[in-house]
Amino acid sequence: MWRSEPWIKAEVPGTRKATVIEKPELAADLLKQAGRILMIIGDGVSMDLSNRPLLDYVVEISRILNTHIATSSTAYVEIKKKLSTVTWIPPMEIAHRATDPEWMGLDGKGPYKMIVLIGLPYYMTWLILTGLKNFAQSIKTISLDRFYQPNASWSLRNMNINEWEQFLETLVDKLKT
Amino acid sequence: MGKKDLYVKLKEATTTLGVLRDVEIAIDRVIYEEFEEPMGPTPMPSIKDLRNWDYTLLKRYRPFYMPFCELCCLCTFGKCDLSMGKRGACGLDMASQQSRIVLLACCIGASTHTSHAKHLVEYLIERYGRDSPIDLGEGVGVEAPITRLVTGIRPRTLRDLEDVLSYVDNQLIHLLASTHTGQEGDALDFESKVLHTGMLDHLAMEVADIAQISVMGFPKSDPDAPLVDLGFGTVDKSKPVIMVVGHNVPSAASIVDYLIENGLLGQVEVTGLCCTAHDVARYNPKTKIIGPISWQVRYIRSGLPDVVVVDEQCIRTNLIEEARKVGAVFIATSEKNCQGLRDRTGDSTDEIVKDLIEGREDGVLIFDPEKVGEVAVRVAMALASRRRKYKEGTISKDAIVEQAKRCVKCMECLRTCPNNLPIMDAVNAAAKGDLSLLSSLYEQCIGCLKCESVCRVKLPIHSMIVWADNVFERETFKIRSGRGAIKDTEIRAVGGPIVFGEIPGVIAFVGCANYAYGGRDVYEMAEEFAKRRYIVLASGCAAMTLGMYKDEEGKTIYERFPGSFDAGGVINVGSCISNSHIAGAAIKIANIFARRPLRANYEEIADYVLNRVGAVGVAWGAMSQKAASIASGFWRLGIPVIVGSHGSKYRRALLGRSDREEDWFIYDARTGEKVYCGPAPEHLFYMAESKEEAIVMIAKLCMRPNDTTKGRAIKLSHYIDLYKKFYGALPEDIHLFVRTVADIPITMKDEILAFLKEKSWKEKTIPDPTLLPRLIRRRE
Repeated sequence: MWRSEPWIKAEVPGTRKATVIEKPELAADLLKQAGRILMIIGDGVSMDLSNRPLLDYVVEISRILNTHIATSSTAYVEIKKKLSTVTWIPPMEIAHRATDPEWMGLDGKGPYKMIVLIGLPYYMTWLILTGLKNFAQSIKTISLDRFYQPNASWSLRNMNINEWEQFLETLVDKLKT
Repeated sequence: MGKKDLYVKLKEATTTLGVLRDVEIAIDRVIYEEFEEPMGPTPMPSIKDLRNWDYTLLKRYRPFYMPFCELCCLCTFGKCDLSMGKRGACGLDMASQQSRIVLLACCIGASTHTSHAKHLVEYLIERYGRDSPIDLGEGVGVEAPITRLVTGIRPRTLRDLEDVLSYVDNQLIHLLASTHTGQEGDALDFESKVLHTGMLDHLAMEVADIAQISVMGFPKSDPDAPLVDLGFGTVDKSKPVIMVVGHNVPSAASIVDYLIENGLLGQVEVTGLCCTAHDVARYNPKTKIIGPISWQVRYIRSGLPDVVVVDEQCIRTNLIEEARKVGAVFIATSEKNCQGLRDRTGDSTDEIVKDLIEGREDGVLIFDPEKVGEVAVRVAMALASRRRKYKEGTISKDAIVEQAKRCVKCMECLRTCPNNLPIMDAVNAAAKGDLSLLSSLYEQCIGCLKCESVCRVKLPIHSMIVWADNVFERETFKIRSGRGAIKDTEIRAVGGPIVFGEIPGVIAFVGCANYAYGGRDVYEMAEEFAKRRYIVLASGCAAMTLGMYKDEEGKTIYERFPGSFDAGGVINVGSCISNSHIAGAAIKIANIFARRPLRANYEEIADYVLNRVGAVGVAWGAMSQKAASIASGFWRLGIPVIVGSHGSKYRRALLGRSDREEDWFIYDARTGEKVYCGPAPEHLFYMAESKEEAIVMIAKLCMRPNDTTKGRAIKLSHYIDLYKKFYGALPEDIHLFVRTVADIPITMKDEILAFLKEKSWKEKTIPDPTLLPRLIRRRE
């Protein structure tokens, strides 16, 4: 039960809570079917997991899905070396733009259908997601952090780092197929 | 405008009506004019009077709401679910509800400063007299820039400050009333009221600080205010110790008075936390500052304080329990914070002291500051030797290991820590004898104690972190005591370089200590900008944090940089209420340097500050409702504020859209033409995730439409250099800030010109900027 509760217990959400993505296969299906995706990533993506740096997974997901990445993290330097579709923009600013139905996205090609978040502080993600949930209702959101985020449309459950890495590993594999 | 009592007593007077005997005439106030400056358009503005200005700001800087709570439970219609486009039973939608809560928070904050100011002014009038002059020291002609700007009053004496506070009271009642069910229903109108509340908050802060500066002997706008001891390690453990905590200084000052009057100064350590510590250090630099508000529990748990004296605001509300655990006596002194204690104000000092020393009571409530001073000193001197056992060590390293073994690995600490610290892993490592991980948490622990509160086996986790390596006990620093206002002469000297952009910015580090990654971030930000010769200001807990780091030579930032309001200065203005001097400095630039009329002329001055004064506030650890109202006072004045990541819990940002060109048109006051001025400043209220992001954004938000080409080139060179330092490339938005080729920093010219070519950049006009049509000098 605790696995699908807000990780910070007092961060109690409203009446609509995120659906838990139990399996990476489901996450892969959702992402593949989403249409235009924006990834908002935070400083937390610079952490090392046991097999690979977390950033490797993020870059790979972005490359496979052809998503744009928005970040103000220092990981920007590394991402820029690997992807051209990254823009330095603070998370608050990009989330605010996403609430504008007329905004045509960072590449000017049209509104995003889905926003994926990873690597921001838990409470900051919690709040950005509640902003998007209430003021950008046409956009679906997924949290790929290892903590349950109740304000997303879909969220991973609370899990330890090894489980999370395994999840991301499988997700990348499934996205490739 | 001045106001005087008139009292006439006639023993015998012959008049056309007859002879009058024993006539007494009393007139409460006679109002007379002695302010040479003509009254401006908005004296003592009501909620509606500056609404147009607010809407001008809010049209450009739109709210982005992040509902921290999606329900409303403020009336019996509820709870109402406002999520996903629903409305509550009263009709409010989510945006209005969020702005309503922001307004409530700001009303709490502004009321708190106003209440503080009222108690303080009443006390000072009683002690020093109603006609005590307002005196901010040599070189300060504009003694109360916010008061003059908002109310039109030029305060001469403490008496005049009462009139200012009456206006604030009146407005706050209306603002709070507008949050009642069935009143305001529009989010932007709530936001306008938020800005009004912030303006009043600054007014109350200014009143409080100029009152105490004028009569209490604080440094008066002194760039060389004394350096004061900071840190737990500076306290002499062999002496009796008094701890003061809060914001309202009379009781703490009375402790110092009693010590001086009885020849005891130096024999008792007077130590403080939070703003009372700032202000008692301004009163007497021999007192010591322990640290920001987050240090209060660890300080009591050290066992060192014999007596804990609390006044008001930001005090941990169960501090009395912590005091009891170490046998320290607790004295509450404010009617806003009575702690369930017996009111002993009317009892004799001897009786109170006897009861406390003999343990018949462990805490008392005393509203008379002089009595508090005597009781605190006498009790501390009597108890110090008896409490020796508490002072000789808290939790030993062996005891930490033993405690750690009791951990049941329930993860509750992890799931409550606001900074997501790996507490459980650290405790488990400690159980195996390795205290290094616990010790490494010290820097990031904000002392909220939520981990202890949820721990199933009641481990003293905070103490285990603090004493894992005794970092706390080695803290010995220096801080320059709060200097108060900025002199008019300083403003004259730097007004031009600031407005034209040659001093690239004025950065104020303000607010609380709710840091996501520790205080070092704040120190490093301040140091970065001081080295780059920005003007760095600081106040409150942030000012203490700046002093708590040393360079390779062992010097703190206050020992390395001058305290003058000039390029490369690092200035501690003082406590929370001294924030008013930061806003005051921006106002004075418009008035003293640019000669804009000040009196009751809010819109014009705010328009000037927004478009010309490159000032930015940084409240990296903002926590309180007061911080919210302080920030909103800066916004209305056109000064952007950046908060740290926890600041996102204020649930709303005010963000510009640099991608919407139409948002950035202003009037050129010379011609009346509407011209594009670029996104400067880009945001009004903004939460940064990391120190690096904040540093880059600070440099960017210092840009203003009025910058000269030389000034813009300097500002751009810092912005680009900092961006490259952290992100390894040119910023992607330079084309929005380069108006002419002359704006381009000379050393980066080729690189930037190539970038501008890619962006199809075209030269733009540099306007004489204003958002107010009435300031256009000639219409084409």
